[in-house]
Amino acid sequence: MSKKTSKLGPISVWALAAGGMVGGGIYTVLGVVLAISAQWTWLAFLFTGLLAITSAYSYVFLANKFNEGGGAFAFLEEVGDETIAGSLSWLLIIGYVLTISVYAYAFGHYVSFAFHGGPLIIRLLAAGIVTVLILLNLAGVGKLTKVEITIVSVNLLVLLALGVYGLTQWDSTQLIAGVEPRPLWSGFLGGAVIFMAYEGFQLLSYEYDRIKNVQKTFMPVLLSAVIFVVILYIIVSLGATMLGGAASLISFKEIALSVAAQKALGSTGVIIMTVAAGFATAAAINSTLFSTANLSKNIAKKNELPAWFDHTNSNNVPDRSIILLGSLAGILAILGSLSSLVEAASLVFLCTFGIVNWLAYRESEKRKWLPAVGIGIAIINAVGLMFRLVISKPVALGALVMVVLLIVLGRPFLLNTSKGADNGTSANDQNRNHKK
Amino acid sequence: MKTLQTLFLLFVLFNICGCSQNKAKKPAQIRWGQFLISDSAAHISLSRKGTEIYAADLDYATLTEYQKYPPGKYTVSVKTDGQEILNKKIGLGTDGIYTLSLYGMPLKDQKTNQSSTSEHLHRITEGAAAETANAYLPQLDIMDDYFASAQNESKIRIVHLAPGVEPINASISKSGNKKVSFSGIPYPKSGKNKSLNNGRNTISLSLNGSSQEISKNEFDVEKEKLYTFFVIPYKNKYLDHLRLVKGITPKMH
Repeated sequence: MSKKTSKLGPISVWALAAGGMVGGGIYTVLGVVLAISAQWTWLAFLFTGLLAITSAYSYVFLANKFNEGGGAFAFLEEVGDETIAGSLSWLLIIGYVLTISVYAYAFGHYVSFAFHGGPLIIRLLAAGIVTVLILLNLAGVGKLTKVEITIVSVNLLVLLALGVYGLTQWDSTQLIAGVEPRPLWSGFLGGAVIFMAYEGFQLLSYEYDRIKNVQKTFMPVLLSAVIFVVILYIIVSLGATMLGGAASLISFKEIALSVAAQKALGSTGVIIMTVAAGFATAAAINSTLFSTANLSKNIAKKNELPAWFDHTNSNNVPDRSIILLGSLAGILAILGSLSSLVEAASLVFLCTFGIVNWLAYRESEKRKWLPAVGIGIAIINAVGLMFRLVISKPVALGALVMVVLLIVLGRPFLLNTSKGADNGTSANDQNRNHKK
Repeated sequence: MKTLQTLFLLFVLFNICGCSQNKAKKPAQIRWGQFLISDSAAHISLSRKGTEIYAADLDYATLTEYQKYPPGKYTVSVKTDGQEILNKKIGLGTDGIYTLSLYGMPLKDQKTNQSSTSEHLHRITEGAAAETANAYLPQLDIMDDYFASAQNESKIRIVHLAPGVEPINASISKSGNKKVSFSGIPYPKSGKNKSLNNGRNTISLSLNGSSQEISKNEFDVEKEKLYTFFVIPYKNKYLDHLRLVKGITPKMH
């Protein structure tokens, strides 16, 4: 992997955390949540945002307590729940693959829309961006922190501009334009579906060792970044709906923000939004792919993934993980539908964040109410999302349940087989050496 | 750093301009599509804050012209044979353009907004994205007619509104060459907008799983328009004879 010599200052950490969340999130989920929550979409972002805030607190609390990054997997190992840690790590990797596929899907749609491309172009773009980023990562240029921070900053400004501009055109009818008004509770259900839009900050927990003065700065910096993103999402969701109208953003949910920008500023708006979305989603794919491959390598080192994943190329990049995970994400982006991918990823992250909040609750002595609130919201969201999936997407839910069962039941068998093969290879090597 | 400063300046200017531009609210445009399978005409009424502002009796297979209304929250009431079958609240957005499409088969003595359990559950979990057959009971669909297209390009979409009929395939050809196709559109959904060639085109329909053509029509395509084809049954020949009702939407600028 690329060299990790430079330390990250508070501004860099803030930008990477905010960018990790916003990178692909709001571009893909706005239309999905508008359909469910209509005029209560802002409430969906607020309610789920509270879970993101408590989860950020819990992540930093646990990282500081154990003085170790690595996220949920590392925390569970620290408290001795190795079986859950192993299963969760696999689930988390699947969640990241789904997330990358959502970003690639969004990239394909946003860029294609600007050029009036058809379904084939969309698929080619989605597959193309994943392929390019796999190759870049294999070449050892996967983590370009400065480039990422620049992209994030421009992206945040564009979104904030769109949101604030929309708010200056306030017209509450736009929140229900072309749809039936929805009841208040729909805001809570909508929040469950789009939790994926908030998960990005946890990638920073894998960079724990690189953060300057981490024990002192990580908590305030990460919390302020998450709170900022919650506010930004509320502003963008309201502002974009003012400009685009609810029905159009739902009809064009894959490119909701481009439609809002087009209605406000015509072609100029589309160009600005395409550039912002293109770079933001590409950066989000890159950082997620980089972190997930590293996570796989670390998990493999601790024998919770087959040793096959621990392989690195001449650039010290976990090449097999990059190729396998990136390719899977590319295939899903080509074959999947937006809301199925978003919801499956959201469910995975709700489980993960719920567990991290539970760990923080167990390990903390003061401010226990913070992770407790997180656990409560995670449970409400998970139940709501399961209910929605049972009704609307039983096949997708069935597939996800099958994957989880395979992980829980099949993982020990696969790991034993893998260890057996490794031991066999080692024994053969030893015999050969002995004969020599 | 300079780039960021420039961007920030642009951002501030952008929003100052936005504040000063206090635009007048452009009206919403709606048209009605009456595809309820019923012996008598459907009586529709549109009211706002308790005041009826539009009422009409629409025969089966009627697609009206667009009418302009101030943006706001409205109530739509639909009656057949003097019985209210639908009563819905809807929002009409500033500069929005919609088709209010009525379809399904009213029952005798049915309740207002009667719905199947499946429709009820899907409505809870999916909201505006819910599209179920609702046991072929009457429904009101607010179709967003906004579309984006390249210069001189037109779009087409097909809407399957024939209850009980298999999913539909459609192919659109020009001078004998097949250009656009839709496959397996189920009741009561519409296929995604697709690009269309200008000039004389032919649209032909078939049922999913069958190559037999069940309908063929020619139509002229003008640039920068959205062509919506509602596939509906002929009256009293519900399952085996389908017809098309064509709607044309101009591009909003």
